[in-house]
Amino acid sequence: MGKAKRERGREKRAQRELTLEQTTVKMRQSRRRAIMIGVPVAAVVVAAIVVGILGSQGSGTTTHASASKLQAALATVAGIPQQGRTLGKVSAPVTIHEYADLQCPICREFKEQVLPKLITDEIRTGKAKITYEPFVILGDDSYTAAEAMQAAAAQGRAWQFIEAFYTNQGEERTGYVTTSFVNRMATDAGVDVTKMRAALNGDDLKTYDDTISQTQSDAQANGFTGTPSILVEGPGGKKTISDAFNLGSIESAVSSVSKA
Amino acid sequence: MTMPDVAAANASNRGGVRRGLRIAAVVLAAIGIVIGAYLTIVHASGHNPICSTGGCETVAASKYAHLVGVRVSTIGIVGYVVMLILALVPGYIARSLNLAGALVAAIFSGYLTWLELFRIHAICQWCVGSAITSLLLLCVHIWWTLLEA
Repeated sequence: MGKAKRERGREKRAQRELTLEQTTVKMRQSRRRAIMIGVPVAAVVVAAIVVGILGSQGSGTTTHASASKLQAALATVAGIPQQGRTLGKVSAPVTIHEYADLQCPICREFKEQVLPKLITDEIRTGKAKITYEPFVILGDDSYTAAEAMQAAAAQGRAWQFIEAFYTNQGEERTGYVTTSFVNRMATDAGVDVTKMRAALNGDDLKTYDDTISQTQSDAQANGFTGTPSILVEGPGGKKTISDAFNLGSIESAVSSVSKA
Repeated sequence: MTMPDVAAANASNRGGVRRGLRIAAVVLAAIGIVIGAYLTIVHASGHNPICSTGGCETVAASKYAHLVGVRVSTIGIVGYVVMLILALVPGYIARSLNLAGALVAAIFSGYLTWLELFRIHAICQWCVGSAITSLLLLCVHIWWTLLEA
């Protein structure tokens, strides 16, 4: 009798221990699963938030450059003769064609990092001249900017307009290139705004649009797909530069095509 | 074959797959480290990377080449080193951290590729190489985590 009771008690204890062990294993498994799913999910959420913040930074804003910044930019091209979209002496044997879009941030970086030295070394010395080719790749606002740049070119101030535009450039495709923005850039560049508006509202607009179309065709013919792209042309032939930020390769191309 | 034999065979098979995944994870992380180190060294020495796509200098010169003041290639090296060390550590916590790291790397690589295509408008072959490496690394770690789970 007593023996059977003891036996039942042992069985009950064993059962309790088994249940406890099973519960512990289950808890351990669910904790393991929670960590294996929870940590990666948390990482994805954090990464997505960080990337979202980085991606939206600066969108929809235009910088309002200080007067000193604008003056420094305009000084880069000051005193150099201009004919239309070309900066430099007419007698310069080599032409550097810069295919660029005024809305493109990398074109602005090219203007800041490469152009000043290129102007000092090649343009001011009369070895080469540089033509701004309006290669529109960023939509309607770039088209508007390219038209206005040509209206400024008609007044011999294309490069001042380009400098002013890049110095005040906003985030691409955010609609900042309004009439008042363009007028402000023109004023900063010393362009007669009334004359510019008359040109943009008159017959000259067709000529500007034709130039933009022609530039698209030329860019395609040269194999250019992005901006800024550089073509160096002289008596010795033509050379395309694979990377616009390589100042050395532009300068050696100028030197190599300068003679027939 | 008895039940214990089948269980043993399965376990051995799983062990083989696990080893293969660990080797793949280590090799891919090492490739990522080599790419990052090459770009960092070339930049520090003032030279230009070998570039068949023609956009490496444009990408390297852009404002997007730095994140909170640190070069993106340096961030890449740190990330891949952490991934490599974790791949050598056994246990489900290391797998979980590996998968988390691979997901972050893949998201970050996707963001950088988007920047190249739609902001910088230039493609750097090394960045594309790193993006592909991070994607493959993600596949490996998803597989490995599923195996452990």
